[in-house]
Amino acid sequence: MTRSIGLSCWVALALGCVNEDLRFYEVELSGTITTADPTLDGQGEVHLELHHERVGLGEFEHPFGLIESWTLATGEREFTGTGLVPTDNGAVGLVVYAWLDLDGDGVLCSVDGDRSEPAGFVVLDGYPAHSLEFVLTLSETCKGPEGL
Amino acid sequence: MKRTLTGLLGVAVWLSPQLASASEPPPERDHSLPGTKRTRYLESAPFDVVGGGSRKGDWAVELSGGTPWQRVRTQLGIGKGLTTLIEMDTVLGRRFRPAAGVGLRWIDRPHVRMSGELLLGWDWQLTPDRQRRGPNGELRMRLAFPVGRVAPYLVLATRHTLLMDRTTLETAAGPEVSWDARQAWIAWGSLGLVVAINEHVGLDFGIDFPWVDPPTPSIPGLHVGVLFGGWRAKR
Repeated sequence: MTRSIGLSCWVALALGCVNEDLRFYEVELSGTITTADPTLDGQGEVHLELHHERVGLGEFEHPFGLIESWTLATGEREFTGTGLVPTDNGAVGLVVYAWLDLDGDGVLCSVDGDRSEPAGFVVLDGYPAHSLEFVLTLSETCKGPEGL
Repeated sequence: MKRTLTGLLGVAVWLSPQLASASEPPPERDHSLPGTKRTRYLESAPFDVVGGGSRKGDWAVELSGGTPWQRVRTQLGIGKGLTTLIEMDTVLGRRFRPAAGVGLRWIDRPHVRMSGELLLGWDWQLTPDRQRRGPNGELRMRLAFPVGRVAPYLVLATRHTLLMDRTTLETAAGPEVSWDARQAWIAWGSLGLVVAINEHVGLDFGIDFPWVDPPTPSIPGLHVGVLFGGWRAKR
């Protein structure tokens, strides 16, 4: 009986027609970005990224895994957006990372650019939830997600 | 360039009398006649496989092994130039494509055979790194030049698989499911030579040029096959 059920399942799987089976969890994000240095208020574009907190298994596990990114208008510090979080890749947690583009070159602390661009991240402890709010302070200078 | 054009022109001149009389009804094979050394194998089962199509009541089987493709094919002639086909091919046991179809002889001359085949089947591959499954269709053209015991041949085909993807989005209002369709394409070319051992059995040696999921080029393959078959005892 068990064998026949297993065989039936195998045939159904083999002859099924679903190929990629993608699963996403929709998250409505809203938050405020501030800078540790108040003189930077209203300056530059904020580049904001939604990451998994941890990705991979065993020895291959590592922090941060980019999901989506946005760029806020110059001086804008309030953010609302929708993120589609993959749920079938074994990743856990959510993190918002952001940095302030003071020289407008689109590169964090480029060699020939401004070397004081602030960055920071915040862990979204409320995940999983479809609506998440955050407050993020950019307090570290020239740090990408891997350096925080 | 000039040499290529001259070669093409030569082939065209050579083919023209064959094509001109292609509309004549195919002759019935009389297996009771031994034939001559030159004509004995023209209607042999091995040539029926690579040339496409069997006479009414004739059948043939192809068992082909190689790298990376293997194939089992059976065919049975049902008359009026039509042949029913059942095939199963696989790529090293990782991808399978069973199919059934029909073939039609377009050019049916003693030393030139051209046929078209339409096959419908199912493509599935369930390896851990890649899964694909879906309905599959293939159009195939065969061209063979039987001379004596041998028949060089060319196969050109286009194979298409419909793949359905499912996306499930978990929203605050509940799950939303959407479907997307995409197509997988395999273009195919084979060059080979069949040697008829007798009217029933032959050997096939070929080079395969599959083009899986163009435009990325694929590595050519080789195959060796045993072709055998028979016919009804009495017409």
